Amino acid sequence: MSETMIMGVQLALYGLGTVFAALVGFALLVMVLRRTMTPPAAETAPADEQS
Amino acid sequence: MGMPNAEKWFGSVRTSGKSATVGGFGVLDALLQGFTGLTWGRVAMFAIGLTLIYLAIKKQYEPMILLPLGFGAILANIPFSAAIGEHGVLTILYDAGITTELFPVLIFIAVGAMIDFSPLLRNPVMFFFGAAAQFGIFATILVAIGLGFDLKEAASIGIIGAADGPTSIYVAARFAPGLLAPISVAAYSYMALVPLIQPPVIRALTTQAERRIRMDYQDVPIPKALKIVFPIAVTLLAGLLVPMGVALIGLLMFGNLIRECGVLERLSLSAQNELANLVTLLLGITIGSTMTAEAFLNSHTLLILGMGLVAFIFDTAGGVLFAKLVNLFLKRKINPMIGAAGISAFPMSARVIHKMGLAEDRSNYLIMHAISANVAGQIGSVMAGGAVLALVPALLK
Repeated sequence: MSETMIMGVQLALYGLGTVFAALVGFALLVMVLRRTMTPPAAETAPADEQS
Repeated sequence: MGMPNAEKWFGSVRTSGKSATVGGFGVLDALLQGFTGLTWGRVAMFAIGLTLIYLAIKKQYEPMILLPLGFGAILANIPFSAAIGEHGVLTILYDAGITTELFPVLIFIAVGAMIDFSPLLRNPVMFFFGAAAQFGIFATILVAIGLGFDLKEAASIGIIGAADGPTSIYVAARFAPGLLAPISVAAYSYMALVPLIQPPVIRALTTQAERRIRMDYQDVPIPKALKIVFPIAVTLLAGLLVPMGVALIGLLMFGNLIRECGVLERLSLSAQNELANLVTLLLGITIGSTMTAEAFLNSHTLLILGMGLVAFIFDTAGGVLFAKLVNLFLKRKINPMIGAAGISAFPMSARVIHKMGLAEDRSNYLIMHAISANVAGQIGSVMAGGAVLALVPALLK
């Protein structure tokens, strides 16, 4: 395997890993923010009240 | 008949004072140099430019970018074109907007102002598919290296799989400016061809039963504060993770903050309309001007166009297969077609998935899930661009 290919494999692993880490982090962030920012009533309110 | 000949004739007019007809050969020569300078390569580029214009007008394939691109290609291939070269207006625009990476970054502000992240904020699990569908970028980088491209070129080609024109342009302008034209053409063409590329790949990787899986959607309200905090928090997190990508993700989120803050409606509308239109117009024609016969008509262009297609296929496959993998651990299954909507081509990909869902079951509405994944793909593609920008120089050290 050439040196460039080895670097390519490293780029693929680190790159995809970085993207996954970031987006999983964003997902967790949104879940936490939603939980802290949404008033409890809004989560359980009937649909007509929400609108 | 070249310029030295013309000088000779003009010279003879000045010294001998003979009739102007003699000097007319030089004038005629100058007038006809456009025709005499034509080559088969330039004629082929006219045909390519016209084809792009045809696709833009007749087929409506990404007309906002393909039409200026096609016309730019024609302008650049007229022999002795004054539009390009040292003082050519398109070269000046290129130096000002592409070399400096200004145009793609400005586009990100506009795109950010256009995106409504609400579906994704309601359904944050879809972030996973925004990551999985970037698989095509990295798989294509390996294919490109296998075909003999160096790491920077391969990274620029792989980014076509971001299905995100400005990110492709941004990365290619930095790592492989010589390949910018074919990469841009591939990125925008395949984005327009998503409805043709994705369905066969999805069908090949899923069963009919899987394509009929129904998914619940809860239309929970999203607090305004969350919509405001989200772009700021993402900018900070992404910036700390990949500082090289801050220009991309930061300005995308800046545009979104303008949209969501509620006090900058005029700026938001300007970003969505005037800024987006003006920069797209200049971006297309400027990149088109790099499509000279010498730079475009070579085997590399064909390889890049081929690898762009490979990138979109791998993206789709990556998203679908990841959804199938996740399903192994879930009680309430996810329709694996949703994984394919994790690419950045918005909203084409979401529409494709929705239509495919309806084709299998007339009462299965996947649109909101698909849009959530599609919006996640927009963030995923920018993050992938940032990761590539950060990692390639680090690996080459």
